Amino acid sequence: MTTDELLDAIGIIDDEAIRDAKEYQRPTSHRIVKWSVIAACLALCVALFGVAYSQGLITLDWIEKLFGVSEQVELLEGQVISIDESAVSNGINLTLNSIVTDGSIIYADFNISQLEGEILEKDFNFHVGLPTFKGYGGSGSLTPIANSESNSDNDNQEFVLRYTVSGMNLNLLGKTITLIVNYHDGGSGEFTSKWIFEVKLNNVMESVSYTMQDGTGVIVTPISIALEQWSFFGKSADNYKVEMADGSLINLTGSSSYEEGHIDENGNKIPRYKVNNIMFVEVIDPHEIVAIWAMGTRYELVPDQ
Amino acid sequence: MKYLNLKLGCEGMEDSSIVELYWARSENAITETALKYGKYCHAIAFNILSNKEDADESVNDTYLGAWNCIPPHSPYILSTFLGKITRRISLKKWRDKNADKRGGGEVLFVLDELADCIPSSNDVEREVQTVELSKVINAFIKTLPDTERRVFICRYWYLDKIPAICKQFDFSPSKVKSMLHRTREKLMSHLEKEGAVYDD
Repeated sequence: MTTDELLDAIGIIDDEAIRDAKEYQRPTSHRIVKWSVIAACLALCVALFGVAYSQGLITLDWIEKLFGVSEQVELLEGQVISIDESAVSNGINLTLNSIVTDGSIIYADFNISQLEGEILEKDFNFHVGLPTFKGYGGSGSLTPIANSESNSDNDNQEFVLRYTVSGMNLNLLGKTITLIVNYHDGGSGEFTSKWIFEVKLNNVMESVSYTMQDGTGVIVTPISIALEQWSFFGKSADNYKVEMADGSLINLTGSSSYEEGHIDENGNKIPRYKVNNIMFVEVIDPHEIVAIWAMGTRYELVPDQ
Repeated sequence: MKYLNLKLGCEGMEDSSIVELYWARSENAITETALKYGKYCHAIAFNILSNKEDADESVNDTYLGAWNCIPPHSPYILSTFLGKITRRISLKKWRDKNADKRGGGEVLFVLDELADCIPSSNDVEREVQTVELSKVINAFIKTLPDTERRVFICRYWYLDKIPAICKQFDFSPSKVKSMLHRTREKLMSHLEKEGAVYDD
């Protein structure tokens, strides 16, 4: 067989498929609509934005400050839920601005007021609970957001919580969670403040399932990657990279924690090894990964059907 | 940069009426065909030949081909019936013109890409009937997800340029290339599995 023969054979495929391919036009954000509609929408958006900004509701710039500016940031931003709920404990006001999850990792943007000194991660404790699923674990870390307005003094500091849940079986998308934040002042050992938020997480996040040659299942989202088997067991995520379709390599970070067994919602133990809590240092398009590099070895990824 | 707008014709006479004109041996059949599908056929020809005059010639040959084929044929989808004639004529013209130098048009790039799907010549029989091969490819494309199938056909049937596909599907170039790369790998695997290539 030659490429010419293959090209000729493709030429006589089904008419329906040929017509369908050309008729299809993916919806884009650049639709042509009447100018009057555009003008009305713009006016409404400007008005809403003005109100929201003045009240501190729109704080999505934290995403770009965490991950950098890229085309793919929209994948994440588009799913962020604006919360803007405040709770007061011991005179300290904590505001949950917005939150987003990819199903296993939660990013939550906060502002905290009336704290003296900088925010220290060790002073905080976080817990995510689900009303229907008890005994669930995870870990959180804080990243201060350099914001000239909110961080100009210590009265109102912005920070992002990155909370990673253990295990891939629990998909947080669309779940209502209870986010509990505890704080103790200056290493006293006792939590002096406690804030509780109940929020419904976003329903949707881009996600692609792949399989490696050895059968390892891989789930990729714009911000994290999880592997379902042991070929990566015990390896440090610091040595991981992912290879994109354009040949570029992107570093990974995270604890590469694993889980031996998992208790499902019915209390049954599911034996499996998983490596999760591995995150990208930037937002990526999960469709464009072609391989994972770990400890100098390349593992090709084949997308599942 | 502008890319050819290879949209199916949507103005003019109903397809069934045009076909009736062919059956009635009315020369209006060609006029109506040109009105409705002239741009569509020209875009296919131009993708292959990259030359307006050559593309015009291919489109005129297409009308003649349709005149000679209908009757006895009564095409189910007139657009793709004409498109197939245009594509075949244009590829033949491209091969004739480039028998010794192989340059110009999108064909060379597409042929290079399709080489990914051809197993080693030591392991395969060289001649497979085009129709049989097409049946295998038809079965293959039916296994593809909708988007992959459409992108594959845009590239390898219409010979659309990558930027044109990006525009139609609102994808990045790397995403389109990656998708095509994977589809070609799947096609090669499918051809081997279905015995479309044979050991010597």
